[in-house]
Amino acid sequence: MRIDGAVIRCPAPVTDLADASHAGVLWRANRGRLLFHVPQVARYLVSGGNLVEIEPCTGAGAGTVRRFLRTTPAAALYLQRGIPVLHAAVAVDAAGRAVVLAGDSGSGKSVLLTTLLRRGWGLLTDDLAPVALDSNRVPVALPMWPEIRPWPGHADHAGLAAADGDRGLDRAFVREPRPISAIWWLGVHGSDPVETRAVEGIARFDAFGAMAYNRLIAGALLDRGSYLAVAGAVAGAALPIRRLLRPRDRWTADELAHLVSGGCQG
Amino acid sequence: MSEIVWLASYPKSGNTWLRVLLANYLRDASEPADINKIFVGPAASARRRFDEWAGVDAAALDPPVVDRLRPEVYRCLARDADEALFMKVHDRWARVDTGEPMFPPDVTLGVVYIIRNPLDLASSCAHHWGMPLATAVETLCDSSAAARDVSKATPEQLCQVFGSWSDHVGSWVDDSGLPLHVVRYEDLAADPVGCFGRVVRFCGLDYDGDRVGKAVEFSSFGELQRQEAAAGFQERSPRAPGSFFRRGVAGSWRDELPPHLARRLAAVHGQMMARFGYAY
Repeated sequence: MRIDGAVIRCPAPVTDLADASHAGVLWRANRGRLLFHVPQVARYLVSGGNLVEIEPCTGAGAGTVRRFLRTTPAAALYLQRGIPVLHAAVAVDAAGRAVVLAGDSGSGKSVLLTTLLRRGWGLLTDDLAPVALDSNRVPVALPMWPEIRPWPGHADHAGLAAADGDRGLDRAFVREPRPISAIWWLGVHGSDPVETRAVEGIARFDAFGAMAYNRLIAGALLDRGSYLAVAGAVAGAALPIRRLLRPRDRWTADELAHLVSGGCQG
Repeated sequence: MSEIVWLASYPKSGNTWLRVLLANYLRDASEPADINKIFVGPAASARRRFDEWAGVDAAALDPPVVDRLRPEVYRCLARDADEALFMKVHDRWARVDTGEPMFPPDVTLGVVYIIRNPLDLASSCAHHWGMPLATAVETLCDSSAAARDVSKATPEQLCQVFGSWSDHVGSWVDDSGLPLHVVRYEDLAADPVGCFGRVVRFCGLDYDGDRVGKAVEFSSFGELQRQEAAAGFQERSPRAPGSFFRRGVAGSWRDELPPHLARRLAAVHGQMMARFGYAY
């Protein structure tokens, strides 16, 4: 098993990270390594942007170990390579351009992505979106896996569990990096109407930081120069960044998909 | 490294008002704090804080595992803070399944527990949760009541267990063993300067009488209603048919609560009500 060229060793003995400069509850990190420990699942050691060693816990299922591999450890691989990772889904429009749907867990990324897929859009990634610069310094979103991770309780509503399932996702999956044409920064609010507003000026730079997959781990792993290069390119590019707030408890997927499909007016 | 002051209460007991008071006191500005930008510390149930410090999405974990990790997340928040954190919490005080307190005493400066007459609370909760008054009364009497039962899954929040109103009060006041200062909502309404001044002192903040007076003026019910009317309030439930800052009048239950529902609340909570001076 590999992730974008990185070697995955499993099972492998994983030692503690004694010289960690940053630590959370389940993770410890220094500039080149991340130790991630999911209780009753596995310990993951991510090194140098090219190696993941996994020590599964006794009784942990392979599927569960792989599921968590595709979260923080996968993000760490990119961060160690100097590639910022957004908490975002990315859909690909008919012109082959990436539309980033960023936001915290439960903000509606996966549901909106699924709604777009049912309208014929392509799938680049869900939940975790590395953003790099191509040879022309144009921001591009990188592909991850043909899978979608819905917020619990939203799966049936969006029809994610529909018959076509994984085969449909495989067909929709886009395997190459795509230039980013728009970023929608999703959130929820207590009012009823869907609200959108353009993010302008220096706020575009701040917004890119706020959309990080995990700001603490990014701060521990990502070198500042690489971050500034990508964040600066995104903030300075012609691509629109729009804040999109949806009502907390009203179903709005079709309305949001219409907004996103229609471009950036509104 | 700092410590946490838990601003603990059953929902709709005055927690928001106290945070607005604290925000106005701490910023010491010449105009009232924007109610949509008050920040004196994260909510204990804030998902994003949990996800980032835990390093994993709470939705990927079983609820008991999330609860088990919460004490350590709070330790991380305290370790990372330069000044005392004032953290709103609607959960009842509890131990997680390993026996450890969910709200760790080693990083706790104290608890300000805000209590409000459950007879007044019923109408306020019914309005906030968008449910019939009788259902809100039963929720106040339900030992297993939790946020998930009164609202749909809220993605920005971790699961919060309230318990019944008496459970909630007893858990913080009697069981927690934490340094405690109880604020009765009714006292805060009747004597905001004196009552809030005692909160300032309990929290270890430098006491300044003029600042207390200004914070009270900038946090008056009229000011909160004015701001909500002008720009809305982000904490208002979309299920609530009207405003978040609704009446705020102590004793309003006498013209809002049918007698049989008042009797029901008094029957279940009479002992705890009497203890805190709430007559029926």
